[in-house]
Amino acid sequence: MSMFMQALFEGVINGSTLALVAMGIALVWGVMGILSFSQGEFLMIAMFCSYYFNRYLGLDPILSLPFCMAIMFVIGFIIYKLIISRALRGPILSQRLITFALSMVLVNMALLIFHGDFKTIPEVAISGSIDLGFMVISKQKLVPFVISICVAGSMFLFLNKTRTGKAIRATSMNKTAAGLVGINSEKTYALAFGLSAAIAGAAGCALTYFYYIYPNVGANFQLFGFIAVVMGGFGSIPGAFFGGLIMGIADSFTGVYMNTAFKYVGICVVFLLLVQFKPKGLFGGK
Amino acid sequence: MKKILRDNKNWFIGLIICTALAIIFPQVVKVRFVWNLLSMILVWSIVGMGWNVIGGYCGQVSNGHSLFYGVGAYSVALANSYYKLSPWIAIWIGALISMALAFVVGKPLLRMKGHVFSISTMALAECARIIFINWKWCGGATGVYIYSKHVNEWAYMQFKNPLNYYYVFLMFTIATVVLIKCLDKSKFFYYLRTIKGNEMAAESVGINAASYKIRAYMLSAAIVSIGGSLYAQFMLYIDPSMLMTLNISMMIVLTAVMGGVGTVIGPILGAIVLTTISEYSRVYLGKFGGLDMILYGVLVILIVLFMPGGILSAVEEQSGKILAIFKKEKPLKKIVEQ
Amino acid sequence: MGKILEIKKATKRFGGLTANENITFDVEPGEIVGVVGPNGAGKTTLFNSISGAHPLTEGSVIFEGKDITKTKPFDICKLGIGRTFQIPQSLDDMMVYENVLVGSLCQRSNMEEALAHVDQVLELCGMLEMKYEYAGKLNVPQKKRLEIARAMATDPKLLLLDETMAGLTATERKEAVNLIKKINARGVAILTIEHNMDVVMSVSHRVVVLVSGKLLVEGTPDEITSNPEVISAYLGGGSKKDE
Repeated sequence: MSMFMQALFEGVINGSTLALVAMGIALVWGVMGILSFSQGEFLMIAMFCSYYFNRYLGLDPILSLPFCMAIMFVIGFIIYKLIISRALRGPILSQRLITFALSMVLVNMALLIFHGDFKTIPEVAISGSIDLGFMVISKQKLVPFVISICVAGSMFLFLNKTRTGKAIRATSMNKTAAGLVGINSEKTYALAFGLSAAIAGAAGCALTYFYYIYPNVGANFQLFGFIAVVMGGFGSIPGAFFGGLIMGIADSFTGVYMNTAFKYVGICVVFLLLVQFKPKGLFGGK
Repeated sequence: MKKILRDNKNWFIGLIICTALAIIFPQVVKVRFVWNLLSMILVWSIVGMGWNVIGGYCGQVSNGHSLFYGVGAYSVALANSYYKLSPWIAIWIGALISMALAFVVGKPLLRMKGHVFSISTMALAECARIIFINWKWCGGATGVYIYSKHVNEWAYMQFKNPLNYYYVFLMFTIATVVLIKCLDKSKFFYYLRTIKGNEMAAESVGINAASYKIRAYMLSAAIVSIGGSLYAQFMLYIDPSMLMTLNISMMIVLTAVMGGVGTVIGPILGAIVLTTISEYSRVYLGKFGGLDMILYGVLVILIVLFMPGGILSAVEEQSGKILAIFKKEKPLKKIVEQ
Repeated sequence: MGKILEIKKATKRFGGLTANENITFDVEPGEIVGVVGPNGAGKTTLFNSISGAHPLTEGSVIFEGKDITKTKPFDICKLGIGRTFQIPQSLDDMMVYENVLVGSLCQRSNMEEALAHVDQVLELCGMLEMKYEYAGKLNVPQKKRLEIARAMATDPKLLLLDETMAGLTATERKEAVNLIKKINARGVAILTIEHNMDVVMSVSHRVVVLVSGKLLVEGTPDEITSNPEVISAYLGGGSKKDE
């Protein structure tokens, strides 16, 4: 029983990070119609930012969170303006590849600059654990979870209650119609991309509370992020959020009850079966 | 067949000229590194042309073709290890296995469209990679060595002279190009293009889209598998990390798309450019931990931004002034001559 | 001689919404039947059921004596029903002749035969000069003509035309009507959804009126235009609907 609860807890923690990554992918997919292969790298860059903020300024990741998000937003925005916007004017197949090429560049730049060794943040503000008897909750792991929920919540509020957010949703539903009512799609696209980078950045920064920091870390989240988005119903942001949580829980459970190596296989099989019978994802289509 | 030869006389003449150049070139440039590079270019040409069938002509973007690449490679390696089977036979066994695999996974997978299909292929390929890493019979993570002591060179496709690899691969490449060229204006490929253009319209003119998609998937699996088999013979050692990663899958896609999607020789151009860049940067920049891949990625970005239709269409635009008859062959000749 | 198309008690429900209810009518070989009705009456839904895009919830569709209710769209095409779509679904990256070619290939496997047939169809539809244009560059009336050409290339015995006249000028409409008459003269039965009453009257042998998913009445054009129920249905919904 306690193993079950522990696995559930770990799964939700892991899933909350995946949820943010998935939301970023869903945002870009919904608004621009391309798959963002670089969410994992945005997460990774933010992790390094958080690490160096900690190392040279002594900032706890919770405190450097807003800065990391801001930096990532700017990076995302610039990348959109320089690269993505031009790619979108070309043929569809090329568009699909540009974020992959981008992720290659980002990962290897990180490899070059920071080298491959694993780093961690030595001391964090909130540490220790809560012993509930049937399970132990690590406070360090609780922090990213809380941050993820807060960031996701803010995203929902932003997309549903603010004018800019609604503009983004409108553009993702129908670009032409949105244009006709005066929404500037270029600006909206850039905003959406920047936002997706910021969300991934938040996830990354939060992760540094207990996760290892290294250039290839993004890969751990990228594929599952994609799968989470499809599970949740492609393009749907709330769907992606829940898809991420489910993926995290599935990952944790298969890791505990199955051979660690084959848990990946197990999850993919479940995913492939799901898409067969519910092609619009768990929460329906757009 | 005769009719195709007649209608495309000029293309075939161009092919013969290019083949002649391809045969002569390494005799002129006697650099071992270049010979190996050329062999790699040919492997990627075959693989790119294979992907093109399902991804370029039929428009179903598979990001998981490393699966078939790996199956092809493992087929020759394991056939050699366990049964001392010659690759000349094992290559075809691998192709058959890949086709069967494509049929089995294709049926459910190809019911999905667009990004969902792409993501599903990625999940599948990743599953396969993990299965291979843990499958002891296939050598697991340590991979498989192809036994290479005292074997008959030609029977086992293992050559001391690297140039022989090149000529054998050239044979396969030319066969593939001719196959694709013959299919290019065939009912099969027209149907694939129609499915790519508008699946609903395709069904309304009598095309069984599901069936044709699977056929295209199977053909592309077979061709990519052959490419993987040749690669294994060249390297004489394989493991899952060399063959079945997402990077490999995406590079397969890049070769075809960068070169010119849905065209006969586009993937060859893509292979020439991308493989040359990646090999040269690996050798000269690889020591700077990752710089070679940065260059590769930057190059892809530049090609996407400035040659959105692919290298072939950019080249066609530039050489449009030159004799229209040799329009399709001249660019290939130019690049090979360098 | 048997009827070419028999619709028997066709009913189509989407969840709680009934798009078609208990529709029954026939089409004789070589006939032109107009299908009219206010927007939302279920006309395109009926077409989709006939062409196999989705199956009927209840009822059946019989083509030349064969039950095609559960047949797939591509098989239905092979049996001899061609269709156009309300919004032309052209293959923009292919040339005009290639668009028609894929239709020709439906009943022919030999490329030479198919290509020769393409020229014949293009001639019939008056598109021979545009043979090598890319479909993406055509304007809407040309794309509509291409739709018809592509459908004709499959050698249909029954052609389903979905709002061919929408968005056309008076001259373009006249040309389209001529084309329809030319096609019909070859023995092809035509079932056409139309909003433009003038066109329907001048072209159809018989007319079927759908309102709110049900068949209101059927008869000759004259009978329909003088039918009080039809008049009130149209006065309620407008007589010349624009897109």
